Amino acid sequence: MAAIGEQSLRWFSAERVEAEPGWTDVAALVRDYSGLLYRVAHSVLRNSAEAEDVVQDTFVRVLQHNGKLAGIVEIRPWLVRIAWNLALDRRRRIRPEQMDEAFAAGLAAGEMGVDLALAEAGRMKQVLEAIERLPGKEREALLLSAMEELSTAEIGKVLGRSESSVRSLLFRARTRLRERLGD
Amino acid sequence: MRIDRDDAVERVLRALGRAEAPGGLEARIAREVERRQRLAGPTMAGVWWRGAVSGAAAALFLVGIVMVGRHFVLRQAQVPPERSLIAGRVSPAGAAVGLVRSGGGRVPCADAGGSRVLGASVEGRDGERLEIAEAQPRQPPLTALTEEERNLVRVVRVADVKELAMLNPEVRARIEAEDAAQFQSFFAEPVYKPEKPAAAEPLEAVPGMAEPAAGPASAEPDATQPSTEPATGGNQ
Repeated sequence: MAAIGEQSLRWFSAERVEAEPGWTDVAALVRDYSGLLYRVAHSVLRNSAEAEDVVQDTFVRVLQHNGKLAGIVEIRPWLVRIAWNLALDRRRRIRPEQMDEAFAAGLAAGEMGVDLALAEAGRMKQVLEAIERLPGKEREALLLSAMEELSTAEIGKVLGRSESSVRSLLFRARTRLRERLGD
Repeated sequence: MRIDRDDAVERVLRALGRAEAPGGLEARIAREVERRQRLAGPTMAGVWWRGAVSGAAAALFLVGIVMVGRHFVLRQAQVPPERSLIAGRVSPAGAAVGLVRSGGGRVPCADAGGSRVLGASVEGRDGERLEIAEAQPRQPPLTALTEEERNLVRVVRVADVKELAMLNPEVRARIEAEDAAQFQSFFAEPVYKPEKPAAAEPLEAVPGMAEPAAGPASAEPDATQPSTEPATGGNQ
């Protein structure tokens, strides 16, 4: 009986040791990239709870492809792309415009007075609405460019475009924003 | 004014790019991912052999079902030798009565069409068991009949010419018509022909008596007298 117990213990220990590398990989990814993925998802959804769910779903997907992690060369664009697609998919079910008011109010809150804060919040809300009205690819390139960790090349890999194309999209997006906000 | 617009855009983008994740986000996600990994199993790589074992078990189960079904079908196609009838005759209602030796020896089947024995049995004389079986049409047995069985079939199935002819509707109608005509001719009432009063059988003339005159009176007899009574009856 004791032999069986020892054998079982060895068996599960072997499995645990076998499982450890994959789990430690995912745990390291959670530690290193949770913040970035949260910001990426939040830029699309502007909702904290929804962005958290997106980050969690992203790592669940990573866990499902645990065996392929070793073959991925650039892990950051890969993770951002997963979170980006999940956020866009979730965006179809919610309306991020409803969250813009609270987000703009949070941006305007500070040491200024109440009247100035209200006016500033109104301006921020206008900017957010103008960003929402941009064409899809221009909006996506602009939002991803807000992430300081992502280079233009990485944004291109996330969006499936070349680096020069991303630069062109960013230029057109900013130009269109200036035109619309100047009206 | 333009600087204000650009500044507003930059502030919004900066705010989006620096959004702070809620406290404890990493820990929560790490716990959730670990929990899902435990639910999925000790190792994701160990899934393949579990699938293989499950597939093999399912294949064995299917093979077992096929074998049992095949055995059942083959058994249905064979007549159980212990319950064969030594001599049977299928009644019009579909019931067959046969004798089965209680000794359990193998006896040939009497009914070439096969009979289904439903187990009703009665003890008869000399230890013989009388079985009452319900005959139901089904497939003939796969095995060939023995010489004795063929003779039995030949004896039981007598090809009567008249019965075979009765299967033809025209012949049957003609035979029935002939039978009806024979019946009618046998039981029909006899037809009596009226006899002539005097002309049919001339009587000897009585002396002194006038001979009846042949005329309308002889052609039309008197209605008060029976037609069968001879006209000379009153004189006798």
